[in-house]
Amino acid sequence: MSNWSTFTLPFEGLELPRFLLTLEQSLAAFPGARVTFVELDAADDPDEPLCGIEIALSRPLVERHRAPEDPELPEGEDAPSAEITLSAEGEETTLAVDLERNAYVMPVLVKIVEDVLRRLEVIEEDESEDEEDEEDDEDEEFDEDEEEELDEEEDEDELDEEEDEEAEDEADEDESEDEVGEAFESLRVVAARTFGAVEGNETSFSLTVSWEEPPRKKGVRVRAFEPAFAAGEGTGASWVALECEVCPLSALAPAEAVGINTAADFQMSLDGETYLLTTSYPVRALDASLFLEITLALAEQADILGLAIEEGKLARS
Amino acid sequence: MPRPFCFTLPYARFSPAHALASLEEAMATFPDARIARAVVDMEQEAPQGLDVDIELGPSLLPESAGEAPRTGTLSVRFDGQMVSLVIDPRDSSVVLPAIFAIAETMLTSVRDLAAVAAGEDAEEEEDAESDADPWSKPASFDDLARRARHLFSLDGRGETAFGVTIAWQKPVGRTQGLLAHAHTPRFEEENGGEGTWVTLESPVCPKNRLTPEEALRRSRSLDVGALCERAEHYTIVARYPLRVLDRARFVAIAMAIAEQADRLEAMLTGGKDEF
Repeated sequence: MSNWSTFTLPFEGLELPRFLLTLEQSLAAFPGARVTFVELDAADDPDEPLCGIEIALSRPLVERHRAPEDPELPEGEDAPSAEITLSAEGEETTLAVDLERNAYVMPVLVKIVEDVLRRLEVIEEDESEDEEDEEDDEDEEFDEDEEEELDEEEDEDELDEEEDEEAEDEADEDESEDEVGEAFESLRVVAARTFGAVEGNETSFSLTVSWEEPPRKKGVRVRAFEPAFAAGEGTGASWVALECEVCPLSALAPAEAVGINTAADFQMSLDGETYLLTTSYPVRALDASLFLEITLALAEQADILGLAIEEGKLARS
Repeated sequence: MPRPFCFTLPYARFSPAHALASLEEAMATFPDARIARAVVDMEQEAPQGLDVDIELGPSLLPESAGEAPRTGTLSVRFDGQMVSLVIDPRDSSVVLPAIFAIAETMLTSVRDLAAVAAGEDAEEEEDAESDADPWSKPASFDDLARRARHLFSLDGRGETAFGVTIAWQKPVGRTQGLLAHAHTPRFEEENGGEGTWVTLESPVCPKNRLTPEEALRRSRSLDVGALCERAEHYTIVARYPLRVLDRARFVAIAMAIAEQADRLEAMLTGGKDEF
C-alpha cells in the first residue's frame, strides 16, 4: 500500500491550467526539472476528474537537494522523475504525492511542491529568503501536511480506472454513414420528383433537364465520392460531384477551355475525349433548393456552352 | 491522407499550461462543451504536444446526431520553431463544426492578446463577442473575412476580397496563399437573384509547367475546383454560395483547395514553394 501525502488546494474544481501555470513558475527555479507528461481523465466521471503529472528531474538536481539520511538515487538512474496527482471530488481539490513512488526524489519534490503551495497560498510565505536556512522549516511544513492524508485506497482505485470506448465510436460511425446515405438518397428523390425518371446505382444517378423554349435537353450525372481531404471519416464525409457533358475534345482547343474556366461560373475538365462542366459539394450542404438551383444552372451553362461551340462561336483554333 | 488542419499560434515557446488555459477560456463560451481528457507529452523531441478530447453536448451537434454527447480532439503542437493549433480532419464531421468554433474562439483571443502585447492596435472594428454557434452561416462576405482572419494569417482585405496564407508543419513546413472574392454568378443575375457567391482560388504554378490539356485532365482528378489561367499562372478555382460556407465547410473547402494547389505546385516545380 502506498503512503500518500495530500494537500487541499483553494480551487473550484480541478483548475488544471492554473495548477500547471503555477507549477511551471515553480519549476523555473529548479533547473533540470520540467513537466514531461500530463494526463487528465474526466471522461468517465466529470464530477471527479483525476490528473497525473510527471516531472523529469536531472540527477544533479536530485543529488543537490538530498540530505545524507535520504535514500541515494540508484546508480545508472540518469533520468529520475517525480509524479504528483491532482484530483477533485465534490468541492475539494487535492494534490497528492505518492511517497513510495517518489522516494528517491522526495527532497527536491518537497521543495517543488512547497513552492507551488506557497504560490497558491496554501502555506505561508517564508520570511527568510535564504534557501539554505529555509530547508528545515520547509521539511517540517511538509511533514505536517502529511498528517492530512485522505483515504489512500480511494486514490489508488481512481488512478487505475480506464474504459474502452471503441464500441461506442463504432456506433457513432454507423449512424453517420446512414445519415450521409440518407442525404444522398434524398437528392435522388428530389431529382426524380423534379426531373422525372433517374437512372443509376448506389453511388450515382443521372437525370435529364429539359427546356421547352427552345426545346433542348441536357443530362446531369450526380456522383457521390469521398474527397482525399476527408479520407478516414468514412462515408460520413461524402461529397457529391455534379457533372455535365459539354462537347468532345475535338470541338474545342484546350487552351480556349482553360481560358473559359477563368471567367465561368462552373469549370471544365477533360474526361477522356470529352469536356465536362463540374462542381462538387459536401452532400449535407445540398438542401433541395440549392441542389435544384445548381443542377439547373450547371445544365443550362453546359448547354449554352455546347451550343456556342457547335455553332462555331467557340471553335477549335 | 490529408494533412491536419494547422493554425499558427503566436507563442514563442510551447507552454502546455498556457495553451490549456487559453483553451479553457475559449471553452467558457461553449457551456455544452467540456474537457474529457487532456494529455501533455513533452517526452519526445519534436513535435511536443497537448491533445485535448472535448466532449460536446447536443446543442453543439447537428440534430441528426441525437442526444448522446460526442467527442472531438484539439491539439497543440510545437515542432521546435512554431506552435500550432491542430485539428485532425479524420474527426467525425459531426463534431468538426463545434471543434472549429472552439478553435476560432481560442485563436481570436490568443492573437488579440499577442497583438496587444506587441503594442499593435487592437484588431478592428468588430465586436469581441464570440459566436458560439458552430452552424452559423456568415451573414455577409465581411463576416467570412472576419472568420478567416481569426483562423489564418490574413494577407490583405478589401470590401469584396481577402487573402490568407495557410501553413502546414508536416511532413515539411509549407505555405500556400488563398484568395477569396465575392461575386454574383451570371445565372443568379439572370434569374433576378442577388445571392453572394465566393470564389476561392489558390495559385499552382507558372503556365509553362503545364499544357492546357494537361491542366484540364488534372482538373478531372481534383476533389474541389478546377485549374484555370490567371495571368501567367495556373490557379485552382472553386465557387460556392456564401450561405453554404458555414465554419466547418469554409475551413474544409479552403484548406482542400490550398492543399491541392500546394501538392500540385510541389509536384510540378520540383518541390518549390513560391505560392
